[in-house]
Amino acid sequence: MTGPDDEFEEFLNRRKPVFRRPDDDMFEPPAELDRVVLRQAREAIEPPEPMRVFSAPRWSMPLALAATLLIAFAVIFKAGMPQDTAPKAEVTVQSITDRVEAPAGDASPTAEEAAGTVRVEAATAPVVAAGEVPAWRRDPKTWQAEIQRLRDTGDTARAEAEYTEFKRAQRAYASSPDR
Amino acid sequence: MNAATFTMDGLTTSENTVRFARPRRPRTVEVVSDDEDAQLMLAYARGEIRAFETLYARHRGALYRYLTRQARDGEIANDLFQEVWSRVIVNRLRYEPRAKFRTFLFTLAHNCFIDHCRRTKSRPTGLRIEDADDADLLPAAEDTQPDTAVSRDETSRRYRAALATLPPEQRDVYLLHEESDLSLEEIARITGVGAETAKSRLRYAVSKLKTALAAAEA
Repeated sequence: MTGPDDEFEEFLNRRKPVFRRPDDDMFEPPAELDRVVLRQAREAIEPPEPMRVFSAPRWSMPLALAATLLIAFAVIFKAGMPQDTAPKAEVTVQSITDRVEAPAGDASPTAEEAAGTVRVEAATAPVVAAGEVPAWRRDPKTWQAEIQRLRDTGDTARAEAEYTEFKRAQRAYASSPDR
Repeated sequence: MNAATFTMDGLTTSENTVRFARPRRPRTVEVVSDDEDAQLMLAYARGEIRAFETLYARHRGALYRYLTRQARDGEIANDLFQEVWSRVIVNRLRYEPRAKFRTFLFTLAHNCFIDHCRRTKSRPTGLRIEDADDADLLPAAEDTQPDTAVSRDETSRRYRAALATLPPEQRDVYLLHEESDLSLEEIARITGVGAETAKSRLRYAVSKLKTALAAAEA
């Protein structure tokens, strides 16, 4: 007669089962799991792919060359063209004075006015003839001295006209873009 | 090829898929040379994918059954199964055949299951017998004979239910003994206890299973 200990020892030695095991004990991992594991195993031992550097498409080289030539010709063509070297009119007291002394009658705006020059209307008649720029007008001090001289001599009309012109010239100078 | 050596005969390789034929009865853990398993593992480490396929074909069923019965959840068992093999693959270059490959494999499986329990902050527990049926999500076997299938299903259900009621330590030792075919000393090493403790747990597990199945059949 065998006791529990003997039975267990036989079980351990796989000579005798102590209870009936199910027959359907053969379930297995799903096929998807097999594929995943085997793919992982395969990928693990595959040699690493060489480092991929940027590989441009085949058409990129001629395209780049054509673009380079186009830009180069454009730069050369631009550089070879005669440049517009005409100096722009400098806004100075003298130029304003010259403009003030220009003949009136043309009230339409000019390109110079659009460029920022101040147009001084010649509403008041110039004291001097057109085209002449008296020497004393080139310096405010001499201009004021001339005005004072006209007043002293009693030629108040010319003195006032000259003074008005002097103030306009000064305003034009003050509002000029050079300031 | 005899029935005890389940090798590449059940394996057919196509372009990207490998299908495994269901091995025939009897359910006997294959007896293969451990040196052969170790050599296969070393060969895989050298880059031979065929060696891994053979190794995988030999141990996949036992490992899957162990994990499925431990986890009692098909999805978790699938995750753990994949994780174990991933660790085998990752550690292939560090593998040293100082112990059986099967010991190495089931040690990984045991540790993966313990890690899973820690991650989910759940301790593996035994179920009451009345709860065991609901917890068992194991796939049923295919069978073409209705009467036989019913009988097998009933036996299988009772077995799984009885297994689920075991305390986790006893179930672990029992499943390792049944599925891995390792010695008690090796099972003790895997579970981190002494050989006598492992033997005692196995004795209790077998006794409880026997009692539960006898009561169910009665």
